[in-house]
Amino acid sequence: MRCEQSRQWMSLALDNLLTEEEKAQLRAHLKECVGCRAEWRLLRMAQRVMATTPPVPMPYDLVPIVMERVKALQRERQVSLWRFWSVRPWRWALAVAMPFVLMAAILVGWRGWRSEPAPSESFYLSAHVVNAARTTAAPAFAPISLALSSVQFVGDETQ
Amino acid sequence: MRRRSLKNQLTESQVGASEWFLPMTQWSDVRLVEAAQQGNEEAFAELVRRYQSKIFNLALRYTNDVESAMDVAQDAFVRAWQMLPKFRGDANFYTWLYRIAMNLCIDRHRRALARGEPQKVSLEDLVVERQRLEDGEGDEELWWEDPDAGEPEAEVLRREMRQKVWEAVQQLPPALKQVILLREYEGLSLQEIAKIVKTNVGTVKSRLYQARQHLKRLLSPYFEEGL
Repeated sequence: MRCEQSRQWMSLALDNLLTEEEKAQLRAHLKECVGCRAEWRLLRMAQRVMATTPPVPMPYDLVPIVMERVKALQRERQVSLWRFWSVRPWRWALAVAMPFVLMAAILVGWRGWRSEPAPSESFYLSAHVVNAARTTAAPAFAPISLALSSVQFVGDETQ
Repeated sequence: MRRRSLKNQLTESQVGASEWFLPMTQWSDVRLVEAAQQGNEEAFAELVRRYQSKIFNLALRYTNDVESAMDVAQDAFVRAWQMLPKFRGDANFYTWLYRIAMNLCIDRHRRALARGEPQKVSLEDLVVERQRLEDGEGDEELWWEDPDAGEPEAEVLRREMRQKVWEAVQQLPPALKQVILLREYEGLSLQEIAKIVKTNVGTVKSRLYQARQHLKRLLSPYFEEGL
């Protein structure tokens, strides 16, 4: 194994990323190479030192300070919402009127749906025929009887 | 605040329905984030309580200045609150928070460079009050172990080494410093680091390799065997 490869494998070994076979190869090289062995000891020592460096205690508790800033942010947000509504009063009027407008639209539409539809015959028959249908004994023949009543027969002109 | 649901974590929150009856300090992050998205400020305060130390230390290791680190941590949480409606739950909350904090650190660093401010390197200004025990975890093979681990003088040497390593990390280029901090100090996985720095795992591995080579060059004068 060359020293350059050995250096790369040392870094992987420090992170426990070598297989057993690779570890064995690295170990064999370190037994032979004084320079690499010294480098390995240095890196291993530095790693242990870093891992065992104790945390530094905080000079003061951050919780009250952070929460005060969080509350200030919440207050700022509420103030900006208030400004949003107060600068343009028409927004208030719109916000208040909108529910009523919607309700009115729903009511009108509902009443329109509920009202009685006109008889289908009125779409197709004139007022005369409808009238005739109401007065004759056979309403189904009203259109025919009305049509016949308007035809002049021979002999009628003498009356 | 608009209500957003965490689609990817829905099963977890359904399973955790019993959390409602527990005090908020025992709620999972998923539950707390859901509550905070619905406007529950107490839930967000609990998240701040949980992660303020981690974010502060991350910012401190990047900026090397306590005041700046506190400012960054504060700004990170406030920004997290503002961006909470956009958080979809496709990453862990703390990964997302780390990303916000890291971006703020980078912005601050760029502004400081633009103003021509000198970069701090030493640990001298920082107060370390608590000592952690040396971890005994990890590989038991002989070739991994530090031969000086059991000696009393080792603690003095370790403190000195900590100082030197810290100084060396502060001298790394920003992109390499990012990945080293997240990997070695915060202990995040390569996948989590990739999400935070918005790149792929291959690039993270490559940056870690380059960062370690830099550290080797910076630390070799202090290492007894030399390189």
